[in-house]
Amino acid sequence: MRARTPISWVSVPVGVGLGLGLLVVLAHWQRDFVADELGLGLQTYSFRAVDASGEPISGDASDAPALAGRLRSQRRAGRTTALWLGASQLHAVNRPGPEPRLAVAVAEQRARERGGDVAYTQLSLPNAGPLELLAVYQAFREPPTRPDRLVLALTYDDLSEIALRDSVVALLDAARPDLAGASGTGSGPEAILARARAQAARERSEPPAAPVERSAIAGTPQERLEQSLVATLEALWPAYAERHSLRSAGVAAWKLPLTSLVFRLRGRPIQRIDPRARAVSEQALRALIAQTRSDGVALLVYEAPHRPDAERFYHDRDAYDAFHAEIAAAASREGFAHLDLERLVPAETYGLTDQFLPDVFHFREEGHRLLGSAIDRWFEERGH
Amino acid sequence: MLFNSWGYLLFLLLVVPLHWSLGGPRLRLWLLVAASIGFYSMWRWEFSLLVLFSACVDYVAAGRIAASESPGIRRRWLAASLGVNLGLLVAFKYTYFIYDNVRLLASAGGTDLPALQDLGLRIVLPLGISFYTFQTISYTIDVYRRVIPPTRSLVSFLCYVTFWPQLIAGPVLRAGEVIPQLEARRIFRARDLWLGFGLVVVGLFKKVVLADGLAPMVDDAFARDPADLNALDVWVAAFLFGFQIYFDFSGYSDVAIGSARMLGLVFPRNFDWPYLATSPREFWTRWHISLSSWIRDYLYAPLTGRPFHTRSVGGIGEATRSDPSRRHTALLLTWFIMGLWHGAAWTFAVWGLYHAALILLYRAVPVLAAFPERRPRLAWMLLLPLTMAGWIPFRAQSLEQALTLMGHLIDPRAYRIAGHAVPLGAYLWAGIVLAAMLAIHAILRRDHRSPFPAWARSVAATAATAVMVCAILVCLRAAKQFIYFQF
Repeated sequence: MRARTPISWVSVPVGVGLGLGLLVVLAHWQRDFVADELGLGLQTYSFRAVDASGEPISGDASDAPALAGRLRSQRRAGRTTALWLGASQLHAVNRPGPEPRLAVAVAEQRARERGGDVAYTQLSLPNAGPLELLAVYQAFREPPTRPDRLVLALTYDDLSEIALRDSVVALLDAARPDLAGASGTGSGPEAILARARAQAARERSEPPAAPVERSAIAGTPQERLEQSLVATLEALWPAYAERHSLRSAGVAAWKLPLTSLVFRLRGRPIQRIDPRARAVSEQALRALIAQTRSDGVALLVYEAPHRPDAERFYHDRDAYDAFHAEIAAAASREGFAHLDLERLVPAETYGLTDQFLPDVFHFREEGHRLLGSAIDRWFEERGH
Repeated sequence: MLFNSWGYLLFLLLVVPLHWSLGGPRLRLWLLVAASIGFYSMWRWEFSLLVLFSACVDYVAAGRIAASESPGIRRRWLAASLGVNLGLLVAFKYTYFIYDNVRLLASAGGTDLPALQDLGLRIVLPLGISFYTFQTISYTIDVYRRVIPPTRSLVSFLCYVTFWPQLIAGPVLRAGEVIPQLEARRIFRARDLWLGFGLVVVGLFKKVVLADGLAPMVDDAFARDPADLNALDVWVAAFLFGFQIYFDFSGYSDVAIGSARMLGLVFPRNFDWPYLATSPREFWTRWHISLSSWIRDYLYAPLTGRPFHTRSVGGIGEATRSDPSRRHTALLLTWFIMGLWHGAAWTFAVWGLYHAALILLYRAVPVLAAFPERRPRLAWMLLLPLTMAGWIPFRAQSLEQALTLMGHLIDPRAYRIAGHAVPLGAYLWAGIVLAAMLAIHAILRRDHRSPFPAWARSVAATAATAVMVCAILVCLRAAKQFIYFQF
């Protein structure tokens, strides 16, 4: 047996140099990776749509002023205005091409080409449930922005979302300042929103349930030194500034496939909608239906497309079907329009989730083409 | 100052070249003392005065002990040194614990005492007090035992006590191992510098990538209601925390030993594949070796009457020939104190007693005692889960949580596949880390028996360094302190 030869010390400085170089190369390679987009699924990105004149026709809560401007200008132009509200499916495109088109842009172009009078304006928020859609509607319901038609994309799993995000609270406060501080008793839209508004204020003022990770050096001289060193490094070294994205990319590339392997072995975990959350969402939906009726806004509710070959996704498909059967029954009872688009988009146009599982909700441009065409066809059939 | 920070890397970049640029050992000693005080003051400067006070007390006490031939005077100075050091340790670390237990007893007797916080008393635990107290105590005892002569040089002694790589969380080294090296005329060698830095890289990788990577899974598991966890969940949580604390603390030790090596000082290793031990006794010759060696020589040896060692190597696993009942009592007492040294809570005492019970069990049952030699693999497979289960009280937030979780492990009804609460990703990672540990050890052992060509070893070392450096840069943030800082 030969004696063990020691490692040459030269390995260390060379390795350190290569490590620094490796960081630069990886940061360059992953420069387009946006960690925030990972929540939409792999290679699924969010977009905004503009019409032929370059005017924005879609956006999120922060774009509400521009979208309100579009509703006003289209109304002045004598067109039938349709406000289209929904969740991330409306603004997300899987594996987009060079100029991806959202469903709303497809519908808008189709309407123009066929000479229809309808003008679409879309506002979408990730995981938006009926409560947030009710809040968003408040920003547009006063003339002259009040739409002629409201198109609602509903999905069963978003019934679990009963919190108002900050951007929606800001939108609501601008539209209905009277709701801030209101007591919120009863089942009308104002009462429901006042309660949600008060809950959002409480959550903002209360410390989060999980302890906030405090730095071990908080309040010490090292904290100030560390902050200035990190800021200097980030300013001088772009690759270092990209480290958070690089870390997220690393997680996506390495950790998540392993987790998904487990999921594949034992199936996807089924989430449960809290009955109380569902009750709040359904109450908000009823309030929104009633409010559009009293506003004279014609309502179209459609079942958002889901991957047709998946029987089991966030919840059992049976749960989706049962919920939409209830909506269809309510539509015929209360006189609003209902459209079943759940199996509209073929399975092959959907992408993968951030856990490398089939994404049941976000699709490619072909899916947007089908959805936009279906919605505009519905308007065409009604003379718009 | 935290090791896992840019501030520390900058500190090394400034102090190491400056140290080697100075000519004489005395100048270097002053530089190291100043740098160490600066290092400590980056946390809270006022507590560096406490470190200096503690050091000065022992410097004077050891000098008086050595100067006197009278056993009475020598004992009095030793008692004074121990009184001051342990008094400070108890005052800063155990006041809340003692008072809370008195409060509990008083409450049981029908008397309500106010909480210390309500009385306006707020005690901040000085960083590293448990470690530097042990160092200064060992110095005075070694002089008392005439193992070493007292050092004449105050700066050498201050440097020994405050030397930053070991100041906050060990290794707990003896004066006889460190002071001669500090006083020697050390010669700069590029090999020492870079291999030392290589060890710093390894240590930071263990901490910021591995330990901090496992931390969220551990935090999640231990934050759950124990009633929601099944036995498999508890095993996963215990294994993950066992790995986390190993990477955390051995990572700290690697950075400490590597930093000292960059200055030409050689410290003994503090961890030696502890999770490959086949008996509880062997585990404590591999885990936190400098601390268990300290406990062996300054606590267990006096209690059993066995001879002590003069170096912080070997751990606490050596056999002794003293009277069995005295040994058992000493063992329980030693581990009880060892547990409470780790933290002022009953959970730590339970952890210590759990290890004492394991050692006693292996002593008492002949089959178990012979197991490691006859069936080493089976012995390892038996000991590893026992060791990991021992981490439950160490990590638990309360005695109740610890006992509930450990109860799950011995409850057959808790072994159900369905209804797990810990995410499956955590199960997967526990398995991956265990498999990786065995694989790396097998490769290194094979490498030791039949070495690869030197160039291949160098290429592998270079590639590993590059990957570790890149991963550290991505993950480095000074938010997470080392677990052992709380001790």
